[in-house]
Amino acid sequence: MSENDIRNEERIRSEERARNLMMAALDDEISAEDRVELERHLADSKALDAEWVRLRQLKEVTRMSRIDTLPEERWTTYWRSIYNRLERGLGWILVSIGAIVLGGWGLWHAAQGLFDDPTLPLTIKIAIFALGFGSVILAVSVGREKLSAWRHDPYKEIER
Amino acid sequence: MKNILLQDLATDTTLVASVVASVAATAERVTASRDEQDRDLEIALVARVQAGDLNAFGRLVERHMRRAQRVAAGLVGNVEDGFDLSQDAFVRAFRARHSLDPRRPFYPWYYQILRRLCFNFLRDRGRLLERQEQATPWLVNDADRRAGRWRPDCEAETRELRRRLGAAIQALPDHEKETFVLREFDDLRYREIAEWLDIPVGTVMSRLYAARRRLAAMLDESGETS
Repeated sequence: MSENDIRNEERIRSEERARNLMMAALDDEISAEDRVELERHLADSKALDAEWVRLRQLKEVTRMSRIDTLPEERWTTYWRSIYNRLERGLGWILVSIGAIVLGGWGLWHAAQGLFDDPTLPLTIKIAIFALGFGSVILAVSVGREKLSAWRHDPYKEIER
Repeated sequence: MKNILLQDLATDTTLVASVVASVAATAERVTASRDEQDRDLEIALVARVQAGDLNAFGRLVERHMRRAQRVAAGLVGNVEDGFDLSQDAFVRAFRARHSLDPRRPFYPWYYQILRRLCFNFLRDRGRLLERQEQATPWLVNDADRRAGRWRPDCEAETRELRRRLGAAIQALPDHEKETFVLREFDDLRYREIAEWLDIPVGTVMSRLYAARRRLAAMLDESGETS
C-alpha cells in the first residue's frame, strides 16, 4: 500500500469519525472527551464547521416539530375496532370452512346423481364433465401464473 | 469570627450537597421501581395474551397505540394512514401471538410487524403511481418544545418550513427515514434503534448522518435553513 493510499484511508476514517461525533453531539449521546475531539475536528476543517452549522439548524427545526395527533374521540374507538376485526376474522374463517365443506359435498352428490340418472342423454353428461374438467384446468393455469409472477416479484422479500 | 463563618458555610454546603444527592438517589430508585413494575405488568399481560385473552391484549393496545400511530404516521407521511396501519398491525400481532417471547418487551416485537406493513403500504402506493407530496401536513409545531420562542409573525413561515420538512422526510430512502423517525419522533437512543433494527450502532449513526445531510440539502434548495 502506497503512502498516498495510507493517507487517504486515514482521511476517510477521520471524516467518518467526525460525522459520528457530530451525530452524537446533536442527539446528546456524546461524552465530554468526544466533545473535545469534535471541537478539534471543527477547528481543523472549515467545510466540516459549515456542515455542523447546517446540521444544527436542521436539528433545531426538527426539535420544534412533532407528528400530528388525532382528536381524542378517535382513540376511544381504537381498541373496539381492533376487537371487532379479531372477532369477525374468526367468524369468517369458520364460515369459509363450512362453505367449502358443504359446497364440495353438495357438488359431489349432484354430480353423482346426474351421472347415475339413466334418463339424462349422454351428450349432457359429457357437457357437464367438460364444464367441470375445464374449470379445473383454468384454476390450475391461473394458479401457475400467479406462482410464476410471485417468483419474479422483486419485492417478494418484503414480508406482508 | 471570619473562620467560624467560613466553617459554618462549609458545613451548610456539605449538608445541602448531601440532601441533593439523597433526593436524586431516591428519585432514581422510585423511577427504577416504577420501570420494574411496568415491566412485570407487561410480562403478565403478554402471558395472558398468549393464552388468547383479548382483554389483556386490549390493555397492551391501549398502552402502545399512540406511539404506534405516531411512528407509522412518520413512516408513511400521513396521520390517518398511520392510524389505520397501526390498527392492522395490532390485529396481525394478536394472530401471531404464539411467536411472542414473554421475556422480551412487547413493543419492539410489535414494531417489526408495523414497519413491514408501513413499507408494504409505501411500496403499493408507489406501484400505483400515487406517491406524491402529501395533501395533509403530518408535522405540527411542538408547543412544549417551543415554549417562550413563539413569534406570531413567524407562524406562516414556520408552517411552510414544517410542510417542506415533512415532504423532505418522505423523500428519504426507507432505511434512512426509519432511523430518522425513530430517533427524532420516538426519542429512541442509538442503542435501542440498533437493537430494534438489528444493525450496529455505527450504522445507526451513518444512516442518521446521511438522512440529515439529505434533508439539509433539500431544505437548502428552497433556501429554508440558510
